[in-house]
Amino acid sequence: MNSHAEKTGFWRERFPIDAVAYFFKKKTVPMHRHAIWYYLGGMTLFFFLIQVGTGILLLLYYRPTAEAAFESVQFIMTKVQFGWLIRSLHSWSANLMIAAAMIHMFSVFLLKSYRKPREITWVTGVLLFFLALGFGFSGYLLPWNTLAYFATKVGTEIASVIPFIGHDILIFLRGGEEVTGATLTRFFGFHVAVLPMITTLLLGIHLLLVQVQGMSVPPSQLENSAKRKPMPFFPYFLMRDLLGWLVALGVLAALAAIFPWELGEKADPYAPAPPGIRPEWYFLFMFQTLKYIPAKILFIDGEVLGILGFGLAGLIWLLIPFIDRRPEERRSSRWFTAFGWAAIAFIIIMSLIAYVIPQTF
Amino acid sequence: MSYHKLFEKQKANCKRQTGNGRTFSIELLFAFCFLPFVVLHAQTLQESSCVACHKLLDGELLAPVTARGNDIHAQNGFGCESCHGGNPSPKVAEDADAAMSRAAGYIGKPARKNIPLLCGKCHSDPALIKKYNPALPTDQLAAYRTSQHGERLFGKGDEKVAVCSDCHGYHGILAANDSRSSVYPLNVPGTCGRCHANSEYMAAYPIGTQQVADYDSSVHGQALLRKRDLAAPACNDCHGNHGAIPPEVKNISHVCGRCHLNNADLFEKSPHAAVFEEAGLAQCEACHGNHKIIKPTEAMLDPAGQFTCAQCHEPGSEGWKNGAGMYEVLLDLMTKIRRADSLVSRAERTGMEVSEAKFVISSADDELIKARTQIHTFQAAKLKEKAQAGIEMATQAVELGRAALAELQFRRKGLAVSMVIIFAVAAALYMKIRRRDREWKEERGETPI
Repeated sequence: MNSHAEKTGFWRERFPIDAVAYFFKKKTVPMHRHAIWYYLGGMTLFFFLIQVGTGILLLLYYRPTAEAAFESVQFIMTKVQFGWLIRSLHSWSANLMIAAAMIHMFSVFLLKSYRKPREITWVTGVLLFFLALGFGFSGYLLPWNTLAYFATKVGTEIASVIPFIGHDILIFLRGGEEVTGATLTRFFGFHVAVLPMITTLLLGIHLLLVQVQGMSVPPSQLENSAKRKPMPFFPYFLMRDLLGWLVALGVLAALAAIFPWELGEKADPYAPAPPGIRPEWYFLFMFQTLKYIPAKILFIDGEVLGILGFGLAGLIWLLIPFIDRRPEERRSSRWFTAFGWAAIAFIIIMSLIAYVIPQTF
Repeated sequence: MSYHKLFEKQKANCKRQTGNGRTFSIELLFAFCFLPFVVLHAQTLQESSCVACHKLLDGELLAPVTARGNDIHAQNGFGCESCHGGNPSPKVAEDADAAMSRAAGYIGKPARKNIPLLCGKCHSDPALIKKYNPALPTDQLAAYRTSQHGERLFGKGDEKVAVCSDCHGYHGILAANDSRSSVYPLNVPGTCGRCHANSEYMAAYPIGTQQVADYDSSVHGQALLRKRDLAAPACNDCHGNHGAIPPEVKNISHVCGRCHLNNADLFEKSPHAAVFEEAGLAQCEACHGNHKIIKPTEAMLDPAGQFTCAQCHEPGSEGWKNGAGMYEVLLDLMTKIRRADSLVSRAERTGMEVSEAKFVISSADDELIKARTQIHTFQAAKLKEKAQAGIEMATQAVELGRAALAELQFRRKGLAVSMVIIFAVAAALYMKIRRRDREWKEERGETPI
């Protein structure tokens, strides 16, 4: 007993344990009819943690060169004990993380949680989402299989249409004019060092702000929420969060075991592009849109216009809290709500079309 | 009307059409009007008397002119006179007698029996042929003389046999590598079949007319005519082209061995080689047939089926047992490969990574091909020895397939256990939440959500 007291005393003297414990004891979550959406952020974080854990395990065997990458993944899947499971969990969890992040982001948008004083929380969240897409794009190439190779070729080519700096971006991404072993090594660097570093920083700020500012109550629920007592975070909300995580873990385990992620054929840069090449599902709506844009609009190249359009849309999305100045007033903000719903409908419809119509890049 | 007159007339028309007082240059218009006639005039100068006259004719007398555009000889500068003789000078274009003068060597339509000699005049001259196509042999006439066709034509005066023009055509002869040519590999069976599949035409010859139909259904015919695989043999690849004869009994394996090297080599070294020769059996043909060679399968060695060995070997004899032994070895290898393939495919369909097993199966397949070749040693023991590597590979692939399926079962069981644990923890957590909620309600009079 004494020993325990001594130990806690040791840590108490060095860390503000009591203050943190007090903070969590007093931390509450507002209650209203849209409170269910509060769980999506935690769900995204859960998948992210799985990514970190499985990613580190994959690093023990993965070799980032054009000569060895495919074989090392094959080795992981066939020879390493539970290697297949780790790789499958990593791939499935990546997709589920992006799906959870997407739902979290749109729910936050529609509930106007970005309004003052949570602008920075929104900005860091959107940046984290873009980083997740970057993780997806860079990680897709790492097994060095045919589909990944050609999808990366098409994906990086799109970057080259950006006026003035497009070609430089292409060279920066590929490490040369073509997708080669240099691209693979580079993407590996982005995937396991650059992106995680930036993500850790932004995620720290994001989580800190969420803790400091607490959960936002949507303008439509302010009255309703005020009438009800908030739910203590510990243990009520945390237990519900954990229940959600357990369900997510079950779904993830089932997907990984029943539908193990395929490896495909090793990439052959000299082979013709096989049919049916498509990017990951979260990029599909953009690819489909680019196909529908005419080759020339006035004197501007259609593809350039499309890429710039997506860039501008992304920038507007990022800066929404500073554009929608009065989100609490429903009348003036309804155009932004409509914009959010239109974006969701657009992404869903374009992705569905891309799945229904055979792809030809 | 001569072209000179036509040209003059058109020139006069041009002058009338332009008139006086036009705003554009008369000289320019003149040049424009003249251009087609200048070209036409230049062509006229090159035209031989034969073409100038025959192009004004109809039917088969016009045909030589229309066909010569594609003709390999015409493209190399050989005119009609090269075969038919006569005076090709444009100066005698309007004088048929001068153009087709016997004094100028005109022979008219060459006599059928003379056609090989006529073609051979140039095609047997290495110095001449070298100028146009150094790769083209010059032994066609010599080979033709040794062929059944040549022997009958020159020896017996039988003019029904094929001469050069029957296969290559005339007036519009195409290079043999031109896909439109009647002697292009894909077209050879049809070309030979024009006579050899015509029962009326071949009635006087005791060789039947089934060859082309048989070839069509053979493994070679299917490959060449259906799959358009130019590596597959056409009639001339076995019979020769200019020296076309049926292969003799003794040299069948040489003919087949040009492509099937290993099989022929093994056969020559086998006990069958001497026995077949003594018995006058036609080596490969004795088991595989000639024109109607079907794709050989293990069924040829099946004692319970179409056992080819049983054609000569009595049931229970040493040869019979040897054949049955070879069948047993091949069947064992094939069964193992099929078993491995089925197991690995099943595992692959469930998403298991089986690339290593597939590679082993592919190697076992290669060994099966090698083992099949060993049939031509006609010794079960040798075949078994060669098939051993394949059997080991197939056994390894079966093990890999089984291991993949066992791993699949392990994964399913693991998933089930994990699910039970996850569900149990989730259920316990849910109960805990419910209990806490009840306590909350009792304390504050409302549920948390």
